Amino acid sequence: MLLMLLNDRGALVMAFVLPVLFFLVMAEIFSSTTGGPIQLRVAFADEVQTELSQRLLAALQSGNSLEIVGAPRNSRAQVEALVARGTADVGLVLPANARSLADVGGMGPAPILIVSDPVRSVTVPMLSGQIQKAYFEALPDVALGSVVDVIEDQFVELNADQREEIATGLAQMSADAKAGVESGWSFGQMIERQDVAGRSAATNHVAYYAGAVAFLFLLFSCMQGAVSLTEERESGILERIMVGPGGMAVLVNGKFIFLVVQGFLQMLVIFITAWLIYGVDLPAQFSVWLVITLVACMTAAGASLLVAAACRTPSQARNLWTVLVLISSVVGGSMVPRFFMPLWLRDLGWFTPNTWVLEAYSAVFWRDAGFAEVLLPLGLLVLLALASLAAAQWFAVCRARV
Amino acid sequence: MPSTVLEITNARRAFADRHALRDVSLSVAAGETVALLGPNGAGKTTLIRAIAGRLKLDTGRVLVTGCDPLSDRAARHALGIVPQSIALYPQLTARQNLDVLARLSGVKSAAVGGAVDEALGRAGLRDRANDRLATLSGGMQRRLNIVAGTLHRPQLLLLDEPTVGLDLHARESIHTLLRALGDIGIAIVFSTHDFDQAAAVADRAAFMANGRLLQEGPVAELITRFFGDAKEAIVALSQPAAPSTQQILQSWGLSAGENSELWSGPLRGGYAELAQLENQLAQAGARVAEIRLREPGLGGVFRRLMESGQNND
Repeated sequence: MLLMLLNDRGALVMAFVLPVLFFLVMAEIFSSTTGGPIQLRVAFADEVQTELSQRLLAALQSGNSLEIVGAPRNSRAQVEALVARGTADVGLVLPANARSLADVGGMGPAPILIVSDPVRSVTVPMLSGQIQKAYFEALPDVALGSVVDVIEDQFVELNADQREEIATGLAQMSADAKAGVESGWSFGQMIERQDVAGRSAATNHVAYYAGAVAFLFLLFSCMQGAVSLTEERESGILERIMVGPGGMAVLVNGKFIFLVVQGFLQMLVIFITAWLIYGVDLPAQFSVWLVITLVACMTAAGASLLVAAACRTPSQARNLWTVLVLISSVVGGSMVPRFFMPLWLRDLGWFTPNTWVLEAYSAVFWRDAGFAEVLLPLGLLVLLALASLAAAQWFAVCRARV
Repeated sequence: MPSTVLEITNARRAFADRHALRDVSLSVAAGETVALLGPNGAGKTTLIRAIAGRLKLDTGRVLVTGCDPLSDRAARHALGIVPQSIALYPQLTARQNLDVLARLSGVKSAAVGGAVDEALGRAGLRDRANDRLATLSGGMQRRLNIVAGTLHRPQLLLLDEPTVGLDLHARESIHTLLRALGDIGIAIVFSTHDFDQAAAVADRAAFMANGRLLQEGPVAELITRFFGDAKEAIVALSQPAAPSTQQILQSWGLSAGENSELWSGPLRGGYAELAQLENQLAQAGARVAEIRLREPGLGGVFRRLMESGQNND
């Protein structure tokens, strides 16, 4: 067994290299979510342009947990667009027609507006926490003054009766807090939330995972079919076909078409399940979904055929493909949403087909985007699919020759 | 006169410092069956690959029906190949295999059914058409493997060791099939180590060693060329020949193969001369396990070729 293992490079990679690589990627993701602050890409719009607003934004930017995207002075509409496109994970607007940042318990609109995409709703408490921290660190005078104001507003003179009254009030606040009822002042009153997409977060989440899981399994199932190319080379079928009038292109193209059709049916079943059980609005987006799904299937089919044609043995092809799919799926967001990842890993995701496919699905299902908005990811995926197919044909011919 | 289907002229090919083909020239006419014979590493498979367009020659050329198989699609229409392994899908039935391969070989959809039926009939597998390949015997699989190479009606069929690993009965069925293919006008070039198979099937034999084509010609003519009207004497010793024994055997024109206990060579005059040889060996104290005369065959030609040193670099 030892000799067999040593002579099988694919098995060696699977046994020793893949687990380490996989661990490194997952550790990087989860250490950033549990071991330290998750970096968020935030778009700011400061409509009030006061000393307080500038101090707050400067404090937010001084930490290493936020990366500012967009122009230095965005408008509110620009922030909404950046969040809607997914360029920013979340947006922060200090609206002009709201209360002052110093007016913590007053009437009127909240002085801080968080603009979020429902599918990334987890970014709202993350940014909220960052704002709260910055507020108390950067504006302690304002925060303490606000507390005194609150005491004056709610508890007035501090004589013995009033102390009792305060104690009663605090006890009531404590009871309310335990009951989950807000009473008195909370930082939450400073913040409002605005979603950029109309769909419910739950539905969008399902749409995301339908695409993520479907593409992951599409990649795996494609290899089951594509590896037959390597098996056919071993058995001599490829030699027979290459020598005859059909030629290699007939075989490789035939496999490509089969894999695309098989993959499409697989994706269709998953999305129909998501539609019937979770209400993902497949019928409304069917035409764009159809194009995205066909392109995704072409990409998976082309890439898997390329790996199968380039490898010498079926086991080598399976091992290499498993490594590539696992890494691509982790980095590309099929297993963990990319906004949980460190920024460098998110950027790396653009080199995986998973990211482009999920971006296209996200545009359609979360942002109601039309065909024009998914042209870039689709164009890149089509290029990848055709280049892979051409390379697969070339490798298939080369490997079958002496 | 039948047209030439295959024309090989001064084919040379080297892999690093190993010469796989050295100035090989050979032509095959329509309907002719040629056996490529020789030891392992002789260049038989390399030559078949070059004919199939799977290998680029360093110098020289291969023409199949006048076209270069490496670059000309027309040559591929004239070519069929039967790999040494069973190049079929084990999970499909015999009919499904032929159906798929016919389509992949460019047979038009309307003609696929007819081509498959014809191939099944030729292979004697009509009654097993719907059985999975894995359930067929080794001989049946081999026959199916061969007819799968004829689905697009090639003019030239290449086979690499078509009977390797088969029992006598299965080999006979392959011989019958190959002769039937030759009868319908398909030229066949096959490599083999089996001299009996070559003699049974081939019109011509081509002997190769060390990348060279040593001798080629019609089977009977080759045998006459090396043996004339003599028979082939075989002497098997029970121990390696002593110098005196060697001297006697060599004086009779016999030579040893790789094994110095087995001697052979042409012997004119028949059994009287054989008895004389046996007496001389007995007087010299040689322990003879077997001594006999047989009709010379391609094996004898091959042994004589090896002994003559024509295969040397």
